[in-house]
Amino acid sequence: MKEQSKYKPFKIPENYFDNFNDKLQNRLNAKKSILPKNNGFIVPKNYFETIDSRSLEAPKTRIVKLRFYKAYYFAAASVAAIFLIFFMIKTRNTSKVTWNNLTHNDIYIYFENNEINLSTYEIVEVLPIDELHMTDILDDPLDAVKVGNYLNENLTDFEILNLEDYEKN
Amino acid sequence: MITEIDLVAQLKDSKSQSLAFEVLVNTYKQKLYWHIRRIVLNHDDADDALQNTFIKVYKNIDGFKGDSKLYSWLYRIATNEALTLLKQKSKKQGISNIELKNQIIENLQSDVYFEGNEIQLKLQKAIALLPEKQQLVFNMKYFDDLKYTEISEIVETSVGALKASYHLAVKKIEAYLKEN
Repeated sequence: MKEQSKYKPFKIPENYFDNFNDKLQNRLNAKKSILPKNNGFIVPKNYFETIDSRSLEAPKTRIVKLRFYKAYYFAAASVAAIFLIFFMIKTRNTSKVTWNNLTHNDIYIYFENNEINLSTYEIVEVLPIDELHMTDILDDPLDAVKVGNYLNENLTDFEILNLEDYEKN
Repeated sequence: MITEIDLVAQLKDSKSQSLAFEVLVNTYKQKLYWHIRRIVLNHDDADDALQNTFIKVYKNIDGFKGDSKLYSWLYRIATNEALTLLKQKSKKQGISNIELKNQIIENLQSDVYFEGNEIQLKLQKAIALLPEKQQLVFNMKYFDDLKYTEISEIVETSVGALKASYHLAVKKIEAYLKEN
């Protein structure tokens, strides 16, 4: 099968190889950048040839282990933690407790957790009743819905309410 | 005639580079063109790959150590450029390499730069169906008349393996032509 011409059946455009050099030159010129290839930095003469020997000649510096400080980090952290806790406690204690600072919940928890051994009469004696006015109570009128909900939840015996007496009146 | 060693030396010297490059292009443009054309089959693609080959040579001539011969270095670059161009084309069209080859073969019939008869078209189809390496070896041995030692330097494969590849390629092509 080799009797055919070497390049047949492929053809090329007329004068393709004659014009090829010019075409190639145009592409090469187009690819040439105006940016300089040299960045301007130079190194001393024989710098890279002598870098090995200069490294060996360099004075030996003491190598300090980083782990050496590790124990101190723990000690410093512990001391800092102690100081922090101390100041926090101190700051808390210095705040002055006033009646206004107390929340209802704090008072409730206090009475729940501490045995006071005071009777109702004793408590009443302590309370400054003289300074109380009827309006202190009436200023906060009871909501009918709240009252209803309260009775629903807490009342088991309706007779205690004396509804019949109330109806009679 | 200038020797290969002198030509390389002149190519690396900025004073003589332009002239030496022209000598290089004039010496190898036809050989490399036909080598590329048999891989890509289409003239426009061959022209692109050939220009890319010489541009690469021009840019990388300083990196040429002379470990291999200049022509084998040039053939290697040309082969890579041709195969890269085909891969880029198949990737661009979203088709496989084999699908692209079939497409190029189909287009050969209407190509103004192809004047083959039916048998020649079948031969190109049979070559296109070969694995990449067998295709290269067959083209370089059968059409370019390169020696096995020369092909060995270009494709960086042992002579023994090349002989086996060529033998297999011929058998496959003959079988294809008999079948069709």
